[in-house]
Amino acid sequence: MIASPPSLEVRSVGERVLPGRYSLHSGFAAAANYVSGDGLFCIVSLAAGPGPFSLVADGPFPELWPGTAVVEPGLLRLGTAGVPLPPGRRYDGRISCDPADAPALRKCLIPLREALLRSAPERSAAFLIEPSRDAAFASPSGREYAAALREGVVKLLGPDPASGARRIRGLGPGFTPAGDDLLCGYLGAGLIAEKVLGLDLRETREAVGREAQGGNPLSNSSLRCAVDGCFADKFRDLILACLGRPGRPLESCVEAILELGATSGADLAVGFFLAARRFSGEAAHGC
Amino acid sequence: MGAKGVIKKGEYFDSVTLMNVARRLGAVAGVTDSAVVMGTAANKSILKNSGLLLPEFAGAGDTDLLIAVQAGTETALADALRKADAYLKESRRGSSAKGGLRASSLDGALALLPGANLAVVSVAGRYAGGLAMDCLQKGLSVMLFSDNVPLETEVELKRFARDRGLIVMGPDCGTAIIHGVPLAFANAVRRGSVGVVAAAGTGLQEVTTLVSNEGVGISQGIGTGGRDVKTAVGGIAFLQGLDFLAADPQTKVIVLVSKPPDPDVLEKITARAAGIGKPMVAVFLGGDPAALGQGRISAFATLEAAATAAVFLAKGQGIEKSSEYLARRHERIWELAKLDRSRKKASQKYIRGLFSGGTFCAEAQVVLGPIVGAVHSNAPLQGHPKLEDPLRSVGHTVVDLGEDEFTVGRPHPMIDYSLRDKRILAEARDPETSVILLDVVIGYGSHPAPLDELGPVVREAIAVADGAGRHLSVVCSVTGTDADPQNRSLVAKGLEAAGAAVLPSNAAACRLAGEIVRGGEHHV
Amino acid sequence: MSSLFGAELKTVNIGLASFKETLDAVKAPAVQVAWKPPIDADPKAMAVLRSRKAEIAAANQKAAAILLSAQPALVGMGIAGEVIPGMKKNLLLHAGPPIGWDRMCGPMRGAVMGALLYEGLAKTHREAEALAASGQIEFAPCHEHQAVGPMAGVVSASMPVFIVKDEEHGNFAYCTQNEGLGKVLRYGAYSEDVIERLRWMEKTLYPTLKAAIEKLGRIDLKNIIAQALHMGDEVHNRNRAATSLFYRLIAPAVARTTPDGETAAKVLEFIHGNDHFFLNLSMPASKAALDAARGVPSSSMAVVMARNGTDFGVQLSGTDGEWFTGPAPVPDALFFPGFTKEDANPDIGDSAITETGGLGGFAIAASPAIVQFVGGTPEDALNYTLQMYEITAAENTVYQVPFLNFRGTPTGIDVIKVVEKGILPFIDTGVAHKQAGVGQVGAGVLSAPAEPFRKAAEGLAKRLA
Repeated sequence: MIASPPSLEVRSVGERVLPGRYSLHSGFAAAANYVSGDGLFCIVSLAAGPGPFSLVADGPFPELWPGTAVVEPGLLRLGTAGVPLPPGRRYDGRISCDPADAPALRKCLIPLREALLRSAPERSAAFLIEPSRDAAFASPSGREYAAALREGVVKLLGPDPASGARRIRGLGPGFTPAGDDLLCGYLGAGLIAEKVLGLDLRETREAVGREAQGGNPLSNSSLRCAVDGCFADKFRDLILACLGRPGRPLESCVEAILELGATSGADLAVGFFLAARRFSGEAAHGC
Repeated sequence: MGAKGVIKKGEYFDSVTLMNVARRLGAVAGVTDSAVVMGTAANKSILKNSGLLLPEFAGAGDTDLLIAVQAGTETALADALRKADAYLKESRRGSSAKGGLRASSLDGALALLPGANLAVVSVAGRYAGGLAMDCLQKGLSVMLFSDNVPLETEVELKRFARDRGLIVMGPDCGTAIIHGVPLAFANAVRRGSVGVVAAAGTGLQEVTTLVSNEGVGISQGIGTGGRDVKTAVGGIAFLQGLDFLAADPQTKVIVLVSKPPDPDVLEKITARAAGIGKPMVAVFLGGDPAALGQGRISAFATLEAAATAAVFLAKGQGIEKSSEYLARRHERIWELAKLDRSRKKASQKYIRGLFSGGTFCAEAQVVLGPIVGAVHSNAPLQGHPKLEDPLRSVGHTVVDLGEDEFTVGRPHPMIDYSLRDKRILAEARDPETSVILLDVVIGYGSHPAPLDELGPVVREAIAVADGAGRHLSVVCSVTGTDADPQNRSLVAKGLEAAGAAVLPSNAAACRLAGEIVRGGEHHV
Repeated sequence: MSSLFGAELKTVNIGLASFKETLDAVKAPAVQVAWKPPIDADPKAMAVLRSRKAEIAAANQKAAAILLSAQPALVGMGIAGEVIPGMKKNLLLHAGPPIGWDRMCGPMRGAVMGALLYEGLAKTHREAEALAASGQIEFAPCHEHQAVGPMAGVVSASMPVFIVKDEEHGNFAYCTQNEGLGKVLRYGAYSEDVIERLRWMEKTLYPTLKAAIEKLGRIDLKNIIAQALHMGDEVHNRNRAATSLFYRLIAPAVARTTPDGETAAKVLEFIHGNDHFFLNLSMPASKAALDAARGVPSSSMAVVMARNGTDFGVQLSGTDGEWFTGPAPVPDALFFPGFTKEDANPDIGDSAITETGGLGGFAIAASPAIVQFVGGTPEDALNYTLQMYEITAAENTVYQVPFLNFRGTPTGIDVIKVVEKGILPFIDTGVAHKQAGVGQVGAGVLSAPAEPFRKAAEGLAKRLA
């Protein structure tokens, strides 16, 4: 077809990319988000890696994303072009884990913290781990933000996590606000803690997931997937490394996730760390 | 002073852009506070507490962008907002410029890029010839990546080009490095004084990366396509390349790479070389160096030997030094082999070489022949038997996975590893396999993350053999540099971590494989 | 080789985009060429055409000049059997190239049956079917009788038609009145209400409009189309502005010439309720202009692109009435809820005459609204039109695209350029359900198929050799 997007080659199809007719929500140089009612899928580049609602595509991305996309079994209709969705490339971001992984999870906290502090970007949520880093938020609104996030996280890790979620959702810089990314990390850790440390966190996770929903469809999808335990590739690799699975070493996984967005990956990892640490403590000391 | 701001509805910017805008806004002179955030309830609350919540922000939604600035003077405010707008526009232009200049015809392309001097043509073979001629007629030299271009067309193109002071690199030319720019499948190499003319793409990659990895640089890497040194084509491009390097002030050492040229072409090359004052090194893979190295050209049997010789010559040292250097490498290889040999089960007798580059498959036969005798191959050199079924190894076998029988209907093995992955595991299960020999070619155009696939496969292969009580040796070379997108050191480390032995060149890897399976005392 | 080695490397990349990415990654100046392979035509034929390049170019200039200078106007109305040359009681005209009953698609068959019922030649649809298959009914393309019809485009002797005249060159073109949307004859519906509506159009709509047109004398169609293009129409898939302009012109005349006010009101309401009313005037306007440009020897300019729901056909100015055909593709459409590509009929209708005349898909840059409906962005619309300049002989002198600084639309398709550049004419169109009578199931875009153009180029070469 003339004037259609140049040929894209889809390398990975997230299992939450559902058939339907979608319209363009936002398009960028290396990604595009398409929405349909509640549903969403993204087209991302190889660098971003697979995810539960992502189509990873190789090939030059269009300068102007078509306004409509139709997902059918085996085919993506992007505007007027047809892009095959190869059947063998489904991405299922689930992780299987169990109490045998508990020692590894506890052991990973220190190296995870170190790796984060070593490499997290200046304006990420890493100041929640190392307070001196809040020097990056020197302006009046910056200080407001830091205080609000801190306060929200305290609530999130306290007896009423849902109230913390309400405080944190939508908070902070970024197309997906830092607070939303942090909550994704928290939810991921919550699921792992449930399976590995035997804590009863299902209601908490669902409540937090509910409170965290807002008007940004991309955040909403990420949060929902985190509650359900379908993780994007880089987050998944990080979690597996924290569970001591063979493969990429932890530091390398941290580096990789820090590449996401401007601070999204860092905020996600910080949320995961804070929650993992909290839940490990709870499992160890019952509080 | 008060605050001013703007709300952007329905325009979306990625987080990196937002962050950059925010940072730059904050740095504008006179600005005391600024925010670039999405219009969520939480962010509006922050803005409110900071005095940045402007009335027009009240109705903003989660996906609206809010930009607010606080500054001491009106001018500073206006300046800051103008800058914010400019930064955002710049990011848009940036992203469309990233898509790059795009023309729908050759003429259109020349209008967009005045001064264009090279066309890289990779369309289907039947159209490539005509298209290449159009380019030549417009004064562009051509790198013709396409294959299946008729021989007569190649000759016509090269003659036409030569008459006009242009060069046609190809057809079937997969690699060139001009002025340090990697073209098609090529590597990021140092710039320097070694010039290479090659009728083999992976051969050019191996030589340029070996030279670069030894700290010496490349002036130009000129590809000619595989048929150039045959009588019908007469070595036109090869000689053009040689002539250029001879005259080029940047080039101090010349390396020639190809399969053995037809005798009349070799004569022309030798005759030309007689008039060139610079040291010349050649590897005519599969030919006898003694017979082929004539006059001023020192011929070597392997790419490694030729590259190493070039390195020492470029450093102003003699070729004997390079021989000594390689001899020491061979010693170390023999030591490595001894260790491995001792752990083998009696059934393990054979090498299984699985190559993505045809040149490496040929070089494997050259290296292994003297060590283990004849090896089977689907692309056999003279003196080596042809593999009857390319899918089933027999005895010592080296397979070129880039040959047509493997590549019809699928991407090239340098990009798509799936076929080789399967074959690696199949060979691991074969009780007669002692060594699996691999080439890993990185660089621009190749698989972006070779470790991701190869690492687990290597691990699994070793585990499979281990489970059956066999010690499987996986020996490989990584052709590339640390400056390549994949980073050679990272890939090599990863492969070692997976249990493979990584050698500095294909020839060295083949040698190790040979030494592992060969019994008896060691040869040099 | 000083041009290559003596200067900075600046690369034109033709082919694999990944090579361009490498050049971008190392910041080497480069441009990508979005190259398309030429259509696979007989090399000997292409050689003949190349050897007569100058002669063909001159012929195309002549044909294009005729096309651009045409002045189509609506000059009257009449009954098909009385005004269409060669029309007979047992002859049914249809859209697209010649086709027999056995190869007709669902919607076309339905329209044929409906026409037979309307004519009173059959009383039930079973009778109609049998009659159509019996051999007693003759079928011929509208195009061969100076007529055009949208979708199935079936014209029978009793149907009223618009009479359009190219006042510059004196030739005529004919087209029926547009029935409206939904279950209509042109989509293959043949139920009682379809026939009733046809009768109303014959007995009420037609005489009313005919009198009004006679009162006005003539209505300048070229002028309406030119204005409509400035108002967001492309007069194939979007006719709302043109219909409104026509309505403004005809309403006072209707009011003056219609004896009773209720009839006048109903007629005007009918026009008002049909956004595509003007399509049945833009089509014969294009047809009249293109017919005037027929018969220029050696010209490779297309004068017809038409589909019958099974085949896609092309005619050239320089090859008389010869048809060059290939299978009609199914459009790439956005389907109405409940329908999918499985339901779609292959491309059908004479409405591609608008594209042939520099309108419709070729003018889509003037109609961004339409493109969003078919799933694109306004920038897509721009690109579609811009591409068409590569394959046309001329730029229109009257039909302009405001967004392109009022550049004339690409007009006069040169089939040789189509073959050489591999760029196919772009058509935007409605999509019919493949079963008779269901109606429209979507709207979409498509590239014309390559085969008719290849055959046309080879056909012209044969004539020249």
